[in-house]
Amino acid sequence: MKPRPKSHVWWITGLIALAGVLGSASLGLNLGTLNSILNEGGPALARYSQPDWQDLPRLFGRLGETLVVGIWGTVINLLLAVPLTIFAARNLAPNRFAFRGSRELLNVFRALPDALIALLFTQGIGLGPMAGALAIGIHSTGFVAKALADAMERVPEGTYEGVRACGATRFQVIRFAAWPSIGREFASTTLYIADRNIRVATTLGVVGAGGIGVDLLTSLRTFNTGRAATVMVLIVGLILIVDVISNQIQRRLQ
Amino acid sequence: MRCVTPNRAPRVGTIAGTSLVVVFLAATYPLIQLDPGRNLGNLFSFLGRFAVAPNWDYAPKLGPRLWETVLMAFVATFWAILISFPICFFASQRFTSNKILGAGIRGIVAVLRAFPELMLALLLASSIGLGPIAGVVALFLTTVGFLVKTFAESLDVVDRKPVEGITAAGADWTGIRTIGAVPQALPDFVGLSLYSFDVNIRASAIIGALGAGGIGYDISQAVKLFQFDRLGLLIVSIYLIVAAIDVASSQIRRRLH
Repeated sequence: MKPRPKSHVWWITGLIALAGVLGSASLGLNLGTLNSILNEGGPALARYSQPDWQDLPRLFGRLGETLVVGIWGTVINLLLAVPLTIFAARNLAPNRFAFRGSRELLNVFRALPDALIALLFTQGIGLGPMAGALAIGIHSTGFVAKALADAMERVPEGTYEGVRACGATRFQVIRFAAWPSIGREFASTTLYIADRNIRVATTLGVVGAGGIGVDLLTSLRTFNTGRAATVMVLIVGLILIVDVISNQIQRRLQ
Repeated sequence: MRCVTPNRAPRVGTIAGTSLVVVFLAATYPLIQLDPGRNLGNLFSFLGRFAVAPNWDYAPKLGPRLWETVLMAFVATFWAILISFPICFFASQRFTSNKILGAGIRGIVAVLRAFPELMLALLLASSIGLGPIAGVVALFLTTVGFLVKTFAESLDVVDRKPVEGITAAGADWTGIRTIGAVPQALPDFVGLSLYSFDVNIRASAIIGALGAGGIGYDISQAVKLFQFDRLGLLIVSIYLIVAAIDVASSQIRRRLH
């Protein structure tokens, strides 16, 4: 068991609590606003209780476009991540400079939210699913390449030595030692990120990057509550279905 | 050559999955409007426009904007931790007082997790008004969905022995949980909370772009008005703040283990 926490832990906890309370107050979040949220929020949300199914065929088309953005995004992500992984793994990188450089690039990819990259790309390459797929691909590369490179670093050195001892080239070391050793991590990371990317793709349309998000934005902004409710049911439904499928496959992988 | 290692991904599944994806890509190729020549050309000319002198007059305004974004994320994470901590005991399969209650709570948080933050933020903005409060409430709800589940899961895997020891010593319901289980799960709790904060900062920047304030709002304005001299500064400042929090949280996690 862990030793008893020292007194400075209590100081830090107290400071965080103080910051939380003061921060809430400075955002205007107090008992009064909480009360009005609880009182007005309910009736306001109740307006969305009657979905309007009229436009369903078109919305299903947009939902399909969301899937396209999510899956193309994941494919772009893998195309970017696999080569970067080699440079970002300390024990496989050709030199220290390539290692640090690629790790830093991955940090930049991770730090910029996908919707933000998508917003930039809608200006850069035009509105539509391509901007969304590319944005998702770039942001999630930051996660995937890092996870895979960390996995390659955890592979016991003997696995690499064995292959090197046969006179393998750098490519052969990657092909016959690194790659087969992280197969399972690769499959499970890919699955996790595909799930995440499809979820993100549902709302990327808000910035004009393709998919059903644009219908969410327009129907909420124009107070078309029936249509907004339908869109939200479709979004949550898609996310739940994808979640169930990916959990099922993930369980088989274990 | 066939590589046989225990960690290899299952072959049949990989082949089936890959061919399914290839068929999907081929079928949806027309929709994505992929045209590498044109896309890349546009992208590079767009990136070229970032090569302007930064608008340093704007730089002093960045501080308050960043502060607002971080504050929204912090306040949402803070209240989410405070609410999730007591609830996670009931959501835990091992420590719940009632199996049906536990399954009910797990079901509710599973639904909460299926709501994208952006969707919740837009929905709340249209019901309680646009502004930082709608953003904070949206982030709070999704974070509770995440933390209750993951807190409960880390309670489920604590070592049995300290829990049995404290039970044998005659501890009551609360004692068994707070003295037997919590100290073991605490490093996980802190790690998960820091992770949520990290995720929420990025989410808060995006929600800001929809009108909730903070740095996101300035970014969406700068994109719309082609203010590339501001955009560069904004992007760098988001990167720096996320990286700084990343470094700080990995320091804290290292000390805990």
